[in-house]
Amino acid sequence: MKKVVDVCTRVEGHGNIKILLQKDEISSVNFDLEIFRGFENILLDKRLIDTPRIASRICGLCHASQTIASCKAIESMYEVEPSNQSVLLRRLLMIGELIRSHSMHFFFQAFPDLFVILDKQPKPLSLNELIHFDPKLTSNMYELIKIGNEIGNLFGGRSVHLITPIIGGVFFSPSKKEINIARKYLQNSINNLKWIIERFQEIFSQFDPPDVYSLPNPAYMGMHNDEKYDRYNGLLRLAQNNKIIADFPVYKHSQYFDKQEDIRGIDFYLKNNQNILVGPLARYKIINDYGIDELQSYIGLFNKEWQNSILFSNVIRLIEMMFVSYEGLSILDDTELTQKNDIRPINFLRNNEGLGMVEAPRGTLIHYYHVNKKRLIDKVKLFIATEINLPIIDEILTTQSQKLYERTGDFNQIKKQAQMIIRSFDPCISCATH
Amino acid sequence: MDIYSILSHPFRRRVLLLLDKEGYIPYTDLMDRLGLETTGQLNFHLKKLGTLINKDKKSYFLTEDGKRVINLMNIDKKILAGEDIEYLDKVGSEINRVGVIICKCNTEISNLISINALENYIKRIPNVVAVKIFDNLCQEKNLEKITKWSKDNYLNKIVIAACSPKTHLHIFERIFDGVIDKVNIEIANIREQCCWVHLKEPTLALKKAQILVEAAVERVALQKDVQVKTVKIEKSCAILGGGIAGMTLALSLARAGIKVYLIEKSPTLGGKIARWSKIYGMGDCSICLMSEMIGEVVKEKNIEILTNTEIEKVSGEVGNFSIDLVKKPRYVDEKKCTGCKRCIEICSIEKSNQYEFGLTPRKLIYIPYVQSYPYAPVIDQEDIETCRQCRICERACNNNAIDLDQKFEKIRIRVGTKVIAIGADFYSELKPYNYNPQNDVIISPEFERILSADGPTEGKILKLSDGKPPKSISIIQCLGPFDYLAEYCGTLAIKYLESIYSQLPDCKINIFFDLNKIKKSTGFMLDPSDERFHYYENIEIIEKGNKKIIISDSEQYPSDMIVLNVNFVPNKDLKELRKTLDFTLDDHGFMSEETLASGIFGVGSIKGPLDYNSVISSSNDVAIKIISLLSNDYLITEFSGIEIKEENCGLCGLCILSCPYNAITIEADKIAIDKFKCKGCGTCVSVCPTNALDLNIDTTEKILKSIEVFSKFNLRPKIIAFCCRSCGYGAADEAGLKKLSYNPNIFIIKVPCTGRVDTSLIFKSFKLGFDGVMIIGCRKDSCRYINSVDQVRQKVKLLNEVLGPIAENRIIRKSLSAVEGNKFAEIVNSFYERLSEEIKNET
Amino acid sequence: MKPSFLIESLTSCSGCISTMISLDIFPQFLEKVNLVRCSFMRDENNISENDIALIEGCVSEEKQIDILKNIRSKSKRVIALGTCAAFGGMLALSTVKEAEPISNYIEIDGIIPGCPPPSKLLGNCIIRLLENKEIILPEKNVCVDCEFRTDNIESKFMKRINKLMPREYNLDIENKDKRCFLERGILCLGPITRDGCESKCIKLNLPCDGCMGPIKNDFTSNAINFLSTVNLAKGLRKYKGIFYRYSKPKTKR
Repeated sequence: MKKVVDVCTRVEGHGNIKILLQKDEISSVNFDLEIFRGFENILLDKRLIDTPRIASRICGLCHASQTIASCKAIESMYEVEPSNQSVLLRRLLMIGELIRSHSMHFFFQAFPDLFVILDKQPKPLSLNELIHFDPKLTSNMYELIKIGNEIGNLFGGRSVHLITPIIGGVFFSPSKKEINIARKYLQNSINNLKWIIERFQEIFSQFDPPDVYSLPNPAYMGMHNDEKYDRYNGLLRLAQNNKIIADFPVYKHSQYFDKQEDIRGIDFYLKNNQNILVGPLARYKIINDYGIDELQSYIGLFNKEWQNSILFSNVIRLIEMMFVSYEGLSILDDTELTQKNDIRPINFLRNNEGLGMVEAPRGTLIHYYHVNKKRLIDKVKLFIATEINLPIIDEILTTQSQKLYERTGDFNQIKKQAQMIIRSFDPCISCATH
Repeated sequence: MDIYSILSHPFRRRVLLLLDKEGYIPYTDLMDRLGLETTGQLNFHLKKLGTLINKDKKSYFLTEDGKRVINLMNIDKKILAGEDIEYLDKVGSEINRVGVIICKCNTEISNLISINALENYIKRIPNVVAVKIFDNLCQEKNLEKITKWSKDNYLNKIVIAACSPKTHLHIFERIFDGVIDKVNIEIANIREQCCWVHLKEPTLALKKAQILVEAAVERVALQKDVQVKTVKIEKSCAILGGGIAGMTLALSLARAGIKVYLIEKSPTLGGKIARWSKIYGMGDCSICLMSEMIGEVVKEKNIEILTNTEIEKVSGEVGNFSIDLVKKPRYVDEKKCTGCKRCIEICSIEKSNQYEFGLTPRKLIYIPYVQSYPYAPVIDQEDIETCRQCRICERACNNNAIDLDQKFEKIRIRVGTKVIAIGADFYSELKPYNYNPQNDVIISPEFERILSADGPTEGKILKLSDGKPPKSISIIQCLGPFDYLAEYCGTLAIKYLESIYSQLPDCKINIFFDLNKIKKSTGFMLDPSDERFHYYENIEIIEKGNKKIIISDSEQYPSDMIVLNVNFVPNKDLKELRKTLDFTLDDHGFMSEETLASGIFGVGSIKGPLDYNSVISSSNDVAIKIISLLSNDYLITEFSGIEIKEENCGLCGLCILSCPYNAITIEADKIAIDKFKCKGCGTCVSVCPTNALDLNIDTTEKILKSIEVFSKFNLRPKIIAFCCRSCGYGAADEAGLKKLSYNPNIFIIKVPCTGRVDTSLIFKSFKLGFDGVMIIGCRKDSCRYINSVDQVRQKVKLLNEVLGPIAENRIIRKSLSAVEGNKFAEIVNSFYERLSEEIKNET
Repeated sequence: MKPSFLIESLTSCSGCISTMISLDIFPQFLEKVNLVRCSFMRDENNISENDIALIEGCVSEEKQIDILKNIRSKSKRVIALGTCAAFGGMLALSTVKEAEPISNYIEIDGIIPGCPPPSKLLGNCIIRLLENKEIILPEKNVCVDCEFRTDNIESKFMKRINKLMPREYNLDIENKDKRCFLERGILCLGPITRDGCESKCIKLNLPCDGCMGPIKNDFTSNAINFLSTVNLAKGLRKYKGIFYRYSKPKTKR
C-alpha cells in the first residue's frame, strides 16, 4: 500500500489530501483533517452558562452560528423562548456572519479556481493576479467582507467570537443610528452583489461546468420553515431528486443520522446509503425557491449542467448573500428591534439534555448537550456541516481521481484536481476538526 | 569613586585617551580637540574626571590613578575609544564588576570542598572580575587588603561565599562600608546551607556551592541603584496606655528630656492597678501609690496627657512618625471644672459602673473613681444622646464647665517612637463556673474592689448578695486559656490569704489549683502540705438551694463566696491596633517583642501576664532603648521596599487588598505607596497582574534568575525551597548550625516573606525541571508581616484545588520557627523520599 | 523592496486570520507586502525566507513543532498572532489535548493577543510591523478603562464571588448603578487581563472573559494569585473553566 499526501491550500485551516494506492490503482482519495481539537472534550464538565462562549471558539468563521446553536440547545434545556427582538438580532448576526464567510471563501478560495476549471487556464489566479484581475470586483468583495464584519461589530460587540448572544437572548438593544448604518451596509451589499453576480455570469456562464464536478445525486439536507428559506428556526428536510425524503424536527435526527460520543464522524441511517450534502446548495435544493423573483431570475441564468454541479454552489453563495441582505433589510424595518432589551430568565432546568440547531454558512449545525446532577455537561455531540459533507467529498474525490489516474496516471494533475474539488465544497476545517 | 559614572560620558573618555596618548595638553587645545564651544561644558567634565587628571601651570595630564584606569581599561579599550558608546548610554544597562570572596571559615568549608575547584568555577562566571580567598573574613583582619583589592579591581559588586547572611551580613557590610554599597553585597550561604548539611557528600556539596555562588553573582549583577533615605529624628515619644507601665516609662523618658505624649483611651489615667486594693509585697495600697505617680506625671512638663483619646492613623517610620489622634469629647471642660460634683448629684439616670465591674451603679455623668486624673466628671459617648435631652447638669454647673455639644477633636503629633502599653484583658469565658457576682461567685478584679477602701463595700469583705461576711471563701486559681500558671496568680492567692485572714480570722479558706497546669509549669507552687491548698484534675461549681458547693475531684467544699482568680488574656484591642501600628503577636496572642518593627515598643502586660515588678523593670528596659534611639539627630536608611511603575498600573487595587500595612492607596486615579509604611514583604508583588510593582532589592528578576541557575543541578528529584527571611531561612540555617544532614538536592531561595511567593514562581520551577516546591514561612500568628503568610496559604490552597494531585504531591507549605532546624531537615528528607518514590513509580 | 510576510495557522479556529482579512487596511497590506505563505489565500506553500512570520493557533501536534522550527530559522521576526499562539488558547481547557503557546518551542519577537485580536490593536500592530518597528501593546490591565471601576477596594473585593455571568441565578443585568462586577459577586477577569480591547464586553455590561491574556506570567498563575485573595465560592474554586481558560501551565517534569 502506498500513500501520497498533499497539503490542501486555499482552504480555511489545515487539511491534507491522502491518496491511497493499491497495486498501482487508486483505492481511495480522502480529504484528511489531520488535526483534531476535541471540543467535545473541552465542553465536558463545563457550566451551561459558560458554554456558548467556549463553543464560539470552534470556528472563527461561523462563530455566530456556533454560539447561537449552543444558546438554543441550552434554552431548550431550560425551556426558554428568547424574545422576538433577540431572535431578530440573532438572525442579523447570522446574516453578517454568512456574508463575511461566503465572501471570503468566494473571493480568495473558489474564484481563482474557476479560471482553471472553466476557462482551461493552466493555473489558478495567483493572489496578486486575483486582486488586480478586476479592481472593481476586488473592491466590491472587500466591501462585502467588511459589511459582514461590521454587522457583527454593530450587533454583536465585535466581529469574531461575538459578545452579545447569551443564553436567553441577545444582550443588546440597537439604537436607531445603528440600524440606519446597518441598513446602508445591507443596501450596499445588495448593490455589490448584483454587480458581482452579473460579472460572474459574464465571465463564466458561457462555459459548461465539467463532469468532474457534477454531483452524484446526493440527498440534500437543510432547514426550512414552512417551505421557506430559514436558517434559525424550522424543520430539517432531507430531499433527493426534488423529492422530499423526510421532514423532521431536530430531536428526531437520530432516525436519520447520529454520532457516537468520543468518535469522529457521523453515522447515517438512510435507506439507500446515499451521501448527504449540506450547505448553501442544499438549502436551496430542498425548497428550490428563495421566494424573491429577482433571485430566481439570476438562478435561471444558469443552465441545467450548472445546476447539477457542485460549482453551482458558488453561484448560490452569491445569491444567498443577496437573499440574506434582503432578509436583513426587512428585519431592520421591524420595530421590535429597538425595544427595551428583554433577556429571558433561566431559573429552572427542565430537561437534562437539549439540542440546538441552526444553519451555519456551510450547512446544518447541531449542538447536543447533556448535564449531570451537578449541572455540568457530561455528554456533548456536535454535528458540524463539513463533517456531514466529508463522505460525499471523499466519494467524488475517489471516483474522479480514479478516472483521471486511468487517463493520465499523473499524480500532480490528480492532486491539483483534488484540491479544486475540495475547495468547491468550501470545507471549514476548523469546524470539522472541532 | 565610581569609575563607571566618570567614564559614562564620551567626552570624558576622550579626554583620558588624549592625555594617555599625548601626555600634556593645554586647556584651549583640549577644547578644540573635543570640539566644545563653551568653557562651562569642558569645566564640568574636567571636574567630573576628579582625581584621574591633574593640571600644572598650562596643561592637563593623567595622574597615577588616571594611568591605572587606562591600564585597567585596556580590555575595554573599545569603550574608552567611544566605539561602544551606545552600550554605556543605554538606559538601565548596568556595568557589573563583581568580585567574589571565598571564606574558608577556618577550614570549616575548605575541609569539605576543594576551594580551588570552587575558585576555578567562579572565575568562569560572567561578570566576575576577581576572586579572593580568605581564611576567616569575619575576624576583620587585613581590612586594608580587602579594601585595596576591591578598589584595585574597580569592583562595584561583591559576592561573599561564606556563612549565612543571618549571622554575618552586618559584619560584611561594615567591612565594605564606604567601598561597596550595601545592596551590592550578596552572600552565597555555602556554610550553613551547604557544607555543614552535606558533610557526607563532598562532591555534591562542591557542585551545590558552585551553583549557589553563581546564583549570587547573577543576583548581584541584576541589582540596580537604590535610594537612600535620611530621617531627621523627632525627639519625642507617643505612649499608648496610661496605666502603670505607660506612666513609669513616661516618667523615665520625660526626665531624660524627651517629649512624651501619654495617650489613654479611657477618661482617666491609672489603668487596672489603680483599682487594686494593694500591691503584694509593697505594703502600700495601690491607689495611694498610683495617685503619687499620677501626681509626678502631671507635674512633669515634658509629658502631655491626652485622655479619652484614640489613635486613628499612623504614618512615617522610625525616627519620624506622624500620628493622627482623635480626642473624644468629655463633655466637661477639665480646665473650668472644680470637681465639686454638683452635676453628679443632680443627675437622675443611673447605670452600672464599668470601673467597678458593674458591682455598683453610677450616674450618667460620673467620675470613674476617687483618684482619677483628670479629676473631672465625664459622660460616655454612648449616653450623650440621652443627656442632650435632659441637660440638667449643664444648667447646674456653676462654672459653665459642662458642654454637651463638645465635638471630636483631631490632633496630629509627630514622634520618633511609639510605645504600646494598653495592658491585657481578663479571661471572660466563665459560664462553666457559674460566674455571678450577685450570687457571690466573683472574679479576682472584683474581689480586689471588695478589698479596696474605696470599693463597693468600703474595704470590708462582705457577700454582695446579702452584705454579710462570708464564713468560707474558695479561691480557684488561674482560670484562663493557657496551660501554664501565671506567676502573679500565685502571689495574688497569698495576698488574698493575708487580707482575708486579717479581716476574718475565722473564715475558712480553700484554694484550688489545677494539677494539669502545675505539671506543665516549672515555676511557682504553693506548699502542697498546707491543708487549705487543694489540687484538682476536674473542678465543678454547683448550687444546692442557696449554697454553693465546689466539687473538686469528687470532694465537696461548700463555700459562701467563690473567687475565680482569672488569668490575663490578650487585650481585645490588639487586633484592631495591628492595623494602624505594626507589631506581631506571639502564640498566645500577646504582643511579641522579637519581631517588632523598628521604632515601636511594647511595655507591660500587653506582652503577657506580668506582675508589678516585671512591669516596672520591662518599662525601664524599654526606656533605655528609646533614649538611646532618640539620642541621634539623624537616621540614615536605605529604602528597601516596593517601587511603583505608574505607567504599568491599571488601578485594579489587588495590591491594596493584599498589603498587610495599608501602605498602598489609590487617589485621583493614581497609585501611591507610603514608603514609611511599606515594610517590603512583597505580598503586593505576588498579586500584581501587571508589571507595576516590584521590590527594589529582592526583585522578581533576581528570584527567577536564581531558579534558573539552580535548575542546572542535574540530580533528581530536585527541590526548590522558598524560605522567608525571618523564620524559614533561619530554620534552614539552624539545621546547618546543628550540622543535621539532609539531601543536597534542595535549593533555598530567600524571599522577604512567603507572601511574596506567587503561583508563577511555582509554575516556573516546575517548568525548569524542579520536582518539588517547598514554602517555609513563619507560623500563622507570628508572621513577621502580620498576615502575609496567610496569603500564600490561600494561594497554595487554591492551587491544590485547581491542580489536584500534581500540586498536592509536589508542593508543601510549612510553618517553622527559626529555631526548628531539626524539623526543617526532617521536612526536606521526607519530601525528598516522597518525590523519589514518585519518580520511581513513574518510570 | 516589499517586506515579506508569512502567515501560518497551527491548531486554531482561523478567527485571527479572518479578523486580519476583514481589517480596513488589509487591501493595502496585500499591496504592500510579499506574502510568501498563507494557506488561506495562496497556493504556494513553501516555507521560504521572510521578514515577518505571523503565527496563528497553538501547538497541539508533534508535527507542528518542526514546522515552527523551520519557520523560526527562515524568519527575521516571529510574531504570535492571537491568544492561542501567544498563550495556548481555549484548547487549554481540554483534558486530552495539549495546547501550548508557540513560545514553548521557539523564541518569539512579540505577541498580538486577543481572541480574536481587537481590530484596532491588530491594525496598529500590522502598520508597525510594515514599518519594521516593534509592536506596542498596552501594559495595563482592563480595569484602567473600566467605567465601573471603583477605588473603594473594600466594597470591590469583599463580596463573595459566585457567578460567572450577570444573569446566573438572577436578572441583575442592567447594572444601573454602574457597580464593579466583583462588587456584585460576578467573576470578572479584568484585573488580570491586558487592556487593548477597548473593554468591549464591559461596555456591553458583561464581565471580562480574559481573552486578551495576561500581561505578565501565565494566565493560570495570575488567576490563582488573584482569586486566592478574594472570597471565591466553593463551586467556582474547582471549576477548571476559569483557571485553564486560554492557557494551562506546564507542570510536567
